[in-house]
Amino acid sequence: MSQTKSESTPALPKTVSEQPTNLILTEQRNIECVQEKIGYKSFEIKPYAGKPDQPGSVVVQFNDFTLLIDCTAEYPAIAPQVAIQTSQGSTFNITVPWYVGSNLIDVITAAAMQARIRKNK
Amino acid sequence: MATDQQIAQMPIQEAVLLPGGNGLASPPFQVPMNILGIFGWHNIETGVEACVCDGILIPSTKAKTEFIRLIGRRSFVRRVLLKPGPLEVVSSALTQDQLKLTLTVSIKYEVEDPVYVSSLENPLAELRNLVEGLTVEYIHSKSFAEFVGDEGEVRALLKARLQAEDTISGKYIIHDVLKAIPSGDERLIEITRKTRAAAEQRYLIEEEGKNREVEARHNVTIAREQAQLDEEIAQRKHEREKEIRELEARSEIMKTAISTLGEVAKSGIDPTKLTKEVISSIVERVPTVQLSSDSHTSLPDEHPLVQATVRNQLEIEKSALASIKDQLGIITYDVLESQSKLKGAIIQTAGYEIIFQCADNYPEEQPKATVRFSNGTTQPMDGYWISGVSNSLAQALLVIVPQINPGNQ
Repeated sequence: MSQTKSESTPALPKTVSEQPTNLILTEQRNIECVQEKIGYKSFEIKPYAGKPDQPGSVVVQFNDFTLLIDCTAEYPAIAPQVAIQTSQGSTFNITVPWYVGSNLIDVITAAAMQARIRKNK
Repeated sequence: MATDQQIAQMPIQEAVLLPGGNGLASPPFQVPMNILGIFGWHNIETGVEACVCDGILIPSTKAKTEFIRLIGRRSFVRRVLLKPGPLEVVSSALTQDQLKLTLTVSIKYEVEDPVYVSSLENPLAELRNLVEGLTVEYIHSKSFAEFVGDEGEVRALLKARLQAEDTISGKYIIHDVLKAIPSGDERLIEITRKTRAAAEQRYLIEEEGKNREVEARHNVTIAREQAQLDEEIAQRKHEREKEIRELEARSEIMKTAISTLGEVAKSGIDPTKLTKEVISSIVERVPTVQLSSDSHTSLPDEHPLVQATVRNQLEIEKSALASIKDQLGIITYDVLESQSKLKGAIIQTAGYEIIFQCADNYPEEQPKATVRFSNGTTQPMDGYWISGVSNSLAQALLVIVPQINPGNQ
């Protein structure tokens, strides 16, 4: 008797041609899929001004910090700006890797890992 | 000299040949009156002959009364042959191409107007002249070869021409032209026949030649394409075997190198310089195999999605590392691959280097990361990977670098 194990989609390569028209919906679905693995509480994607289908400001709420992601008009061709806001209110920018095909899951993953490292130090 | 009684009783075919007859009609005679000298009858074989009495047609047997004989006057009768034998005419003339030809024609005909025929002095001569004239005209209009090679056209055309003539129409019925046989200089006829046969043979030979030429051309094309195909298959096979050997050699070298570097690091010696030399040596020993997978177009067949995934993963790693290179102070980074699969990476910074070793199921499985300091000490790292979510060494680097203990440098 065989069992089917579902593959994790974020680890698969992504191409520009696979991007659907409504990028916000796609990003939302992807982020929802990895909530358990990344451990965020909630998130909100606001559309970019003048482009209702494209992400603008993204807020991802964790228990002890918040990710603030600002996408440019050229997103996803250009990497977004990412900042971590601690529970004490301080904010600092962080670096995230970026390549053709990156999405908000990559950003959140990298940022969340860095935030936890900073907290543990 | 035949008597009236003899002319009346002899067969019509003989009667028309008697002196005074014209070939189709008998000489005039008086019908014998056997009863009182004024009554009698004359037998007529219907369809074979007809009688014309003083210019009036008597089509069948009938009783005859001649009261005018009482005053001494006589009436004369002529028997007419309705279905004579075929009329044969031999005509000689020059053909269209000025060659002498003799055409022998035989015509089956029937008398339609016995009165007209009985009125003529020589109806057969008239018919013969007409047929001869038409035949000569026809010979003039055709070439010698056309008569020699005729297959029935001459007879049909002659019949049609005869039926259309005023001399014939309404007076005779032309049933058929029984024969129209050309003759003449036998040598010419033989030459023409041979020429005609040769022309037909030549046509067949030409067609056969064309067919053979087409067949030969196709055979050459097929043979050439087959040879090209064989050569291409052999070439591809050779290249594939060559690349497989190169990749196998490179894989062995890589395994040995990584294993050796690990041993060196464990022994406490700074492997930085040695690592560069080993990588340089590998590149020199296997110059045709590049670190990226772009050149491996003739690798053994693999699923396209797998190939794309492998290629994309290598490109992702390079692009991701490039995007954080400056922020993390990376001096150099080398992505290690084997058979187009990511096997690891060596990240060089100012005081240490980070060595990644990737398993076959990377990025599902966390890569093994080791920090090696310039003094030879190493620091194993952990907690930099979320399986199923993390997908690049660059992400791990951003977590590893802040955790490196600077006291080890």
